[in-house]
Amino acid sequence: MTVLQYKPIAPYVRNRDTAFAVMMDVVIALLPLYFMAFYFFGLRALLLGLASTAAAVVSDFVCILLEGKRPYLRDISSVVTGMILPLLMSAATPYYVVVSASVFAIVFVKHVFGGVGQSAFNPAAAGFAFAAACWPTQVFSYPVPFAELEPFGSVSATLSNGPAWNLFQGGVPTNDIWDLLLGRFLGPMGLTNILVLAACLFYLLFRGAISWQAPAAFFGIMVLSMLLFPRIPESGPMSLVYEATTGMWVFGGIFMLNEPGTLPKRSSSRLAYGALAAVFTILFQQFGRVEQTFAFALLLTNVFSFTLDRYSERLLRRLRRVYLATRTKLSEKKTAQRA
Amino acid sequence: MNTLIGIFSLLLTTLVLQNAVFSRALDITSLLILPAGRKSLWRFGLMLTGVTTIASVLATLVNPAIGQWEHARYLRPVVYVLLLAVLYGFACLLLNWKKRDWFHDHSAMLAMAFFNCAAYGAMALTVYSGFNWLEAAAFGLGIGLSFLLAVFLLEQGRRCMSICNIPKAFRGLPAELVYVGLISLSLYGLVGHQLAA
Amino acid sequence: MQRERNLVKRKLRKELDLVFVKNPVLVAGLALAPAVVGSFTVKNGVGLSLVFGMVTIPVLVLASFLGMLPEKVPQYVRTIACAVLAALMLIPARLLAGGIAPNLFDSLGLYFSAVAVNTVWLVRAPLCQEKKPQWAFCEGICHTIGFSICVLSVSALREFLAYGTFWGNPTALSVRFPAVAYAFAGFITVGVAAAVLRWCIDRGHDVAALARRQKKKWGTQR
Repeated sequence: MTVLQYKPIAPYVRNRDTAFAVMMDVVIALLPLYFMAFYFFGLRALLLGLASTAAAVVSDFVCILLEGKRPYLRDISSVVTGMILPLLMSAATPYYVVVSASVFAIVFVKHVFGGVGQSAFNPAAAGFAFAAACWPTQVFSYPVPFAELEPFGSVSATLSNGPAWNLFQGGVPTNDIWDLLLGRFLGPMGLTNILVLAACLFYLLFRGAISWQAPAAFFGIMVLSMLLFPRIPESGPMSLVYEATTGMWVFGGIFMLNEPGTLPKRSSSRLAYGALAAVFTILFQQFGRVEQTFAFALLLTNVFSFTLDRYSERLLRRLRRVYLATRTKLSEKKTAQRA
Repeated sequence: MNTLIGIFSLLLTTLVLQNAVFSRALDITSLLILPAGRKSLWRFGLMLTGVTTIASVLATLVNPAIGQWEHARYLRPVVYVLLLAVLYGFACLLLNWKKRDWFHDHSAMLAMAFFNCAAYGAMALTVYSGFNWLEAAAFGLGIGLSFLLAVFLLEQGRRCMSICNIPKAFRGLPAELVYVGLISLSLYGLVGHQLAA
Repeated sequence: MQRERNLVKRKLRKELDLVFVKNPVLVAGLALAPAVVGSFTVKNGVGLSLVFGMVTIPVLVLASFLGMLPEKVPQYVRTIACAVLAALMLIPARLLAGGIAPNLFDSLGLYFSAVAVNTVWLVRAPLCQEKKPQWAFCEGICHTIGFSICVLSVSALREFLAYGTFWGNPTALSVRFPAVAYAFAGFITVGVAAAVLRWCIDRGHDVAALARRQKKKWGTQR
């Protein structure tokens, strides 16, 4: 019996895209957002991030030990989840909210379905959804930028709803457009700085930490829908500015949609995945009863991630078969004609 | 025309916003314990859709006979279950007469399609919401279709979970329950907070 | 005599397995709807357990009596008889539930009566037809205990986390998780409870296997 052996061809190129390198790029991209949060809200923003990350790492460690596996120090996906969660919430959020959201995300979403790279749902989205379901008042009440927030304990500053609430109610925000673009308005810690977010997107794309397909389809459909069908009585471009600066979908489209564990593996299905996420986000915005609906829409999109891969593979295989069949037919015709 | 739009919106609301499985856990047992292969779950879903539609229409028709006296609300559940039993009896007689072999193969599944929380819940919720018979039919159909939607979503989940390295203790029923719970959490974004009743 | 006693013991052990090893809710996945949505306070849990017992035990005993009927009587007639008894048992269950808490019927909503159409009796009644009434009664009791253990533990945990209370009395918990009372948390809690039970059963099997091995080893040496 002959055994086919595939010999590797030199030169041996070492790929830099290890899980650690990709995750590290995401952590680096999240740091400017924390810097901006520190600039606007002081030390509390950093401490919230630290508490959430610590909770995520500790619960990850405990779960790995309970499963009887060996902890792998170069796996920092729990750090990314822990860092993303506080950025989605108000800077005045109590510590127990971010810690609970982190623990929920890691224990009940990441580890129940097999840990890193195998989670059926995005852990950060599920953690945020849990926090929003449990404590909507704390999560969606924001302090004014540059308000002096106490680093520990409860916050004494006045908290109120942001422009996202106005949009949710069908009204037009009264904020200045420059304030919106520079992030000087009531909103979650990491979602208000649209320019920094754009820089993060380009950094991640340039570094190859995320692929272009899912964000391209997602942002393309979102921007088109905002321009063509604004949900507030405003012109398309203005509606786009309001929605993009106040909504979670810009941040989510960069950091949560491209989570490697839940993203489909084929590039064509990634396009479909991004499009599906956009459609669900728009539907949830139209009919939902929560201020920020991206996380919920993403959870529903995750259900279809595996299916999209499966069907795109089938479709491509069928297309290839049709292409090959027509090619052979054409060549047969040509030879017949020549003869 | 308005009635038609109203009926259609009621159907959509029941299907997505108040999905019987994800927001009320009606008939979650059949969804999880029936074998997923060979389309049996889909067949069961179609059977259930028929039962919920007919049962909810029957409930609206029978409800006025119970009346509005003091203890009527305690009697209603008993009447609903008895109605289901009568319906089941009719269906069995009919199938035994017309399609004996089919009935012999599917008798256990047929009993599950009649005596379950979804059929009972469709009747109770129809009367509670005060629907007329047309709305009741749409509502019952919506509940049945929402079960089919749940079957579809869980099928995707089962495929995904089959390649995941799920911890041993969670494999099977526990992971599927958590999966359904997370889909239910995602639909919370549409429904807002509420306790199912 | 000894053989008969051993047979009874074996049968009893088989029935007692329904409490933990073959728990109707957490292992078999039966009667999940009330356990998932209805069990968000301990009072509800007690109410559900009560209705479950009141419905399941008589229906299984009836099924055992129906097994004595001639084979000509078709299976669906027996199922209908069981369903009628289950429906009628709701009346005494409601009267008893009023004694525990006056608003129990209303707070459980449709799940109080939905227990009458639970899948436990539907799946087990055909099997109970081959049993003697006393063993069907025993099975009903074991199912009820298994269901109660699951529902009471889940409802106690959910009430503690969601409202910070136990049977309506405040506890020391200062942080509340209101969403734990919602349906999605019910799914997750029951799922996690099922996983914990399976883990415990697996450990139990491991320990039993180890003990058996040790016994065999030492037994041969002696």
